Amino acid sequence: MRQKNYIPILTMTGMEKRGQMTIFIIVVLMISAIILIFVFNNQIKTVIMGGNVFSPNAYLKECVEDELKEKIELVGKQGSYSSLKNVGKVAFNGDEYAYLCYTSQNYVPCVVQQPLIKRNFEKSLKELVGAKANECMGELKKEYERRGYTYTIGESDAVVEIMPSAVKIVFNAPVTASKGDVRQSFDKLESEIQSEVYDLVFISKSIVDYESTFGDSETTMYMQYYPDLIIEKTKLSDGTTIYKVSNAVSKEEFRFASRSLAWPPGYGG
Amino acid sequence: MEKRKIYFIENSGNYVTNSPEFSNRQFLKTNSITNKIVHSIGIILILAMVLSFSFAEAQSTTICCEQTNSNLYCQDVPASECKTNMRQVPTACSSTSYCKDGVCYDSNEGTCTDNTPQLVCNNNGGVWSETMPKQCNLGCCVLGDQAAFVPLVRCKRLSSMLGLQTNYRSDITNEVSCVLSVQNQEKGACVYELDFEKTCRFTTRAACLGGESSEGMKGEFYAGKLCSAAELGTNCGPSRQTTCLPGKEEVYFVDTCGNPANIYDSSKIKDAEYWTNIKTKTESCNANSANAVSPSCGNCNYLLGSFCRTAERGKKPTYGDSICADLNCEKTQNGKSYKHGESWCVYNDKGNQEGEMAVGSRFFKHICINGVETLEQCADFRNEVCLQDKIVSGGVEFSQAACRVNRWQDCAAQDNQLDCENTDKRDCRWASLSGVFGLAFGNAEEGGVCVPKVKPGLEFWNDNSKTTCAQAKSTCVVEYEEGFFTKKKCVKNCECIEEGTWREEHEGICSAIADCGESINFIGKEGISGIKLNKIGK
Repeated sequence: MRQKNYIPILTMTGMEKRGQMTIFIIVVLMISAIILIFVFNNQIKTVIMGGNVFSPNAYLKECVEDELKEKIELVGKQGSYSSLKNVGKVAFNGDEYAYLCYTSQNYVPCVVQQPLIKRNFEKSLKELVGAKANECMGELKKEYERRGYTYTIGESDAVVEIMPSAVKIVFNAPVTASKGDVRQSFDKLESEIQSEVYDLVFISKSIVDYESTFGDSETTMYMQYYPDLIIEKTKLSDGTTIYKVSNAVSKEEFRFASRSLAWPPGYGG
Repeated sequence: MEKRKIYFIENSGNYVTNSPEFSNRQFLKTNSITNKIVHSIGIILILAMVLSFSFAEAQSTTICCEQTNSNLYCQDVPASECKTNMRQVPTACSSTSYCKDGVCYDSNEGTCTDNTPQLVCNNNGGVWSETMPKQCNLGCCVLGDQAAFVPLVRCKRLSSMLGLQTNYRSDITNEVSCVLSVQNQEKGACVYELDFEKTCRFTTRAACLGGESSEGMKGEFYAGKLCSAAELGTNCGPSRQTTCLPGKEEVYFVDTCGNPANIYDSSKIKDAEYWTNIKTKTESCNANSANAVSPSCGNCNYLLGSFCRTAERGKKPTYGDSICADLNCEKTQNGKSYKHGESWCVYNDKGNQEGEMAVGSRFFKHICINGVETLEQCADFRNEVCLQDKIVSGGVEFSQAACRVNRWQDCAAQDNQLDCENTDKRDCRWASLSGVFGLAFGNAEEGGVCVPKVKPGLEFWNDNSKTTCAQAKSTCVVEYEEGFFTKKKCVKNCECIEEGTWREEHEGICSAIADCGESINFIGKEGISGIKLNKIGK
């Protein structure tokens, strides 16, 4: 009788151990699966969806976006110039500001030094981002080839265009990618990023117009018409005025200097 | 027999931190030969000064320089500042062909920039002309529900950027009319079919019927209706999202297709009628209030100091991410609160504004913008002053300030009080004098001299400022009479040696013309030297 009692006890104990082991194995497998999904997310998506989630425009945008934003900020701080090395400028508080309008004389309005600010801005961006754009085109080719496509590209050139609320980079490059019966052809590829620098450039152009005509500008008027605009104006002792035109929402900035209708100190000059 | 003794009293003007003395001296005139020698020396000195001035002028003659060593174009500068490989012409730049000012036209953008030298324009790819070209004539460019007063080519450029057809009206000749022409356009739901599905775009009648806002498809226009109206049967419906719209101050609901609906009102989120018909601003929540930082109402009012912005942490609305941000400034530097857009003058140095300006002081204009107090300096050396006034509208005051040129330059040329205090032409005041006594400054006559109301600053660290202050020098000849039986007594200009009037008046002139005489700087520190009174002679 006693032995009979032990058999169920022994059986139950064995079952408990096996059950625990099973649960343990299941939990380990689940955790491993989660980790694998997390690590190989993209590849799994490709496998599941048949590899159709690929947009060259989106790829290029992701590749060039950070560099483009960084250069927009740099060129904005340099008054639309890629480099201030050969540009008339003034130093103030450790920073340099390009003169967009200047006269060395007193009592007269300034002479415009940069009449086509937007075009100069685009040219500067192209100079600074061109290398990265070419690199991204190379990366795009590798991505297509990795996916098994045959990829051909003609002569390419990147152009940057500033637009209202955006900066667009256009890769003028005839591209053909083919894989079996699938064939994709593009004359050009475009990527756009959000930016308010267009408005800043044209507001600055308007300020330069006022400086060259009247010798000064009324910045409060601009800020009242454009609620997102902030203009800081600093007048230096030598008659130079430094402008910082910025967007309160996007925090982008355009800076430049002007020397116009300067009054010398005292009774001299 | 009477003897005469004549005394010279000299009031020398000086500036505060450098030249030492203001001295009163009494000289006894001895004989006429000495006077002749002194006069001769004076004439020689004057001649020498004139010659040296001519020489200095020759040195500073300017030329038109194509590009200076500082990389600036078309400047009238001395030859030594010109880049050697650039054009230099011994004339004014306005007389040259390459540096003559004109209009620079950008054919890509359709913009025109005046006062641009020809070579600068051409170097940057523009088209230069001496006079304003026809391409720069302005007209009204209609861009959907907005407008811009720009040239035709610019209008085409803007229209292409926004994906619109060019709508240019040359008959509208001013900006106000241009803006008004688009403000009353009828708006509503533009329903069309796309990929076999009925969809909708919220736009103007013209854009809908012209296919501009509906992927090129001409739609059916329902005036006064929102795209989320159930009766239209589109795939657009109410949502809990909000947004800020370009050119609009309020927070708007957005439907599921991304179209703007009515002004955000959290109490109306499930109101079918509110998602069907367009409501005006006055029909929306709290129409007469700014609704600043209101979690439930997005009816912002820019004139009252609120505007649609993305909500900051801690100030979230009930629905969506946009809220009416408060643009006013509370407790500014002077302790007062100001509305968005207001500006005011601040003069916060140890001097005062009644002619006793501290050395180094200047005027400041403060502005309240986007909830932040910013400051703008007026020109240094007090070449600009700050003026402030209030606009009263509907019982509400609005402060406005501006920096304006300090017109002190021709004060010295005025010889009567009427011209001196003509505020239409100059910023001067008449300083009364009991006697002129050879005052070098201005065009004084008996009774007073014209001085600046706000005295200009000086580069007092330079030697030429001594010349400026020396203009306040005046000489008072005091005559004494002494007889054998009478004591020496003053018979003429005796006020010069008495305490009071003469000295105070001339000290006032000295400090009124510029940073001369005894003074303090803008943080209240006194100058290194003050005024000394020296008596020389018997």
